[in-house]
Amino acid sequence: MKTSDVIAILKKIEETRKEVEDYIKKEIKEDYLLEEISKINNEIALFLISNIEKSSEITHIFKPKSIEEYYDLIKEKIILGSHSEIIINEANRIREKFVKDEWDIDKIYYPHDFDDYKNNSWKYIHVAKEIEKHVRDKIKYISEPDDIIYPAPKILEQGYGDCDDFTVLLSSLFRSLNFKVCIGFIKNHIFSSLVLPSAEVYEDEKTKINIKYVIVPVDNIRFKLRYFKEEITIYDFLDFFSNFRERLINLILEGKLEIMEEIIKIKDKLSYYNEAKYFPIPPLEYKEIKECMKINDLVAKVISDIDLIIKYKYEN
Amino acid sequence: MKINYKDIEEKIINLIYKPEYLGFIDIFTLKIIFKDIDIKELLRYLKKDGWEIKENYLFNKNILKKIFYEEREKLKKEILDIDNKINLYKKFEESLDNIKEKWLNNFKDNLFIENLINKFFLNKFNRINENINNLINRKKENEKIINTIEEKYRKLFK
Repeated sequence: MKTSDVIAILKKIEETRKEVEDYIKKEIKEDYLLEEISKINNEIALFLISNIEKSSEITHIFKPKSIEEYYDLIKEKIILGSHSEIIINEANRIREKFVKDEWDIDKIYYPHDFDDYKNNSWKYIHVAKEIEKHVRDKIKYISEPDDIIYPAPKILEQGYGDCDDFTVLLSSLFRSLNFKVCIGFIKNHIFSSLVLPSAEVYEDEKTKINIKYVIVPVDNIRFKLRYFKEEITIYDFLDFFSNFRERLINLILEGKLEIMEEIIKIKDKLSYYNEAKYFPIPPLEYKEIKECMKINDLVAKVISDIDLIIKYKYEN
Repeated sequence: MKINYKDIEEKIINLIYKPEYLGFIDIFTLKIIFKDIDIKELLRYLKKDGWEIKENYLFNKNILKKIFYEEREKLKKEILDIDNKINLYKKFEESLDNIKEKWLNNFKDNLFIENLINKFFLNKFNRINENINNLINRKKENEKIINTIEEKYRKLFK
């Protein structure tokens, strides 16, 4: 099956699923039936998707004419991957280490109050961190001379891939857990990215919650800092209550100010990702991406927050 | 050792309340269960206490009436529940058929997908039919038991 055929069929499956869903809501009055028939409607969509995946063994060889065409291909592959049972199971195995009970990611995207965010954010951010670590441990990076994108379960099975394979696999795993996912393109590189909330920057007037969304490139971003034995990842900046932040403040209070210079260097390095063009993976939308902070802005905000905390501590 | 027939009567009552006895027990079974007891003496005692023997069955009319009535009502209620469930399955089948048509209609130009849709729904319909058949069999079984009960009741109360 040709790539364009697969994409057309996938689109049609999703359109039909929605069309039938509307029909069910309109025509079926009994709650019990409504629920059961809706379930079957979703089941048939997944059944068709997984069969298309199996039958086509989708190994696309292509030369995209534009970045948009490339995005379309990768997007469909991610959507397909995120519905694969193998990917769903793999993602859930990882997430169960941190969130054993109910997986409700809206707790951090749309928290009821700040405590809700505070109590849950670290767990969900750690799941994202662990998924990236898991994939980088398990999948070997190889540079492919040809432009082949494998389906996510295939990448997992073969244990190697290039940057587009990493993008497909990581994004599929994230999407299967309802993370907000986008993909970043920069020069000859493509990478998966997450839209994650961070307790920074502004206070929502209505909810009084201090949340801003950040585009987090999932691109093996790690730093070695003096005074820190373990490597620092980008996720440590996101977690407002992380040990990393606390230790950072303590180090500065101890007079080890040079650590701030290193953090500023990190911020500068991260500005590389500002040049990237980000594309959403549905249900994430373009407008949501536009409202997001860039990762280096987050680090800049962390720096200024730490300044404020230190000033406050000195004054008191 | 003196035999306490009152205790044995209690044991028989407990026994005939079980669904497999339905309020009466045949003398042969009674002899097997109480093989160490003089059955003639036991029956003499029981008869004094309102028990009867008909068609080789031992029963107590009052208890039998109660058990028959309760059992019949229980089975009738079950039949009603089964009917409701069957109706629900039929409605479910109807709705499923409608959404199957919608899916097929959208993919009528693609034989591969069409076959997959048919395969998926065939599996669903088979399962529903299997459930409906099981329910129908249960209903038939209940009806059969009611008939047997009523027939027995008529014979023993004649």
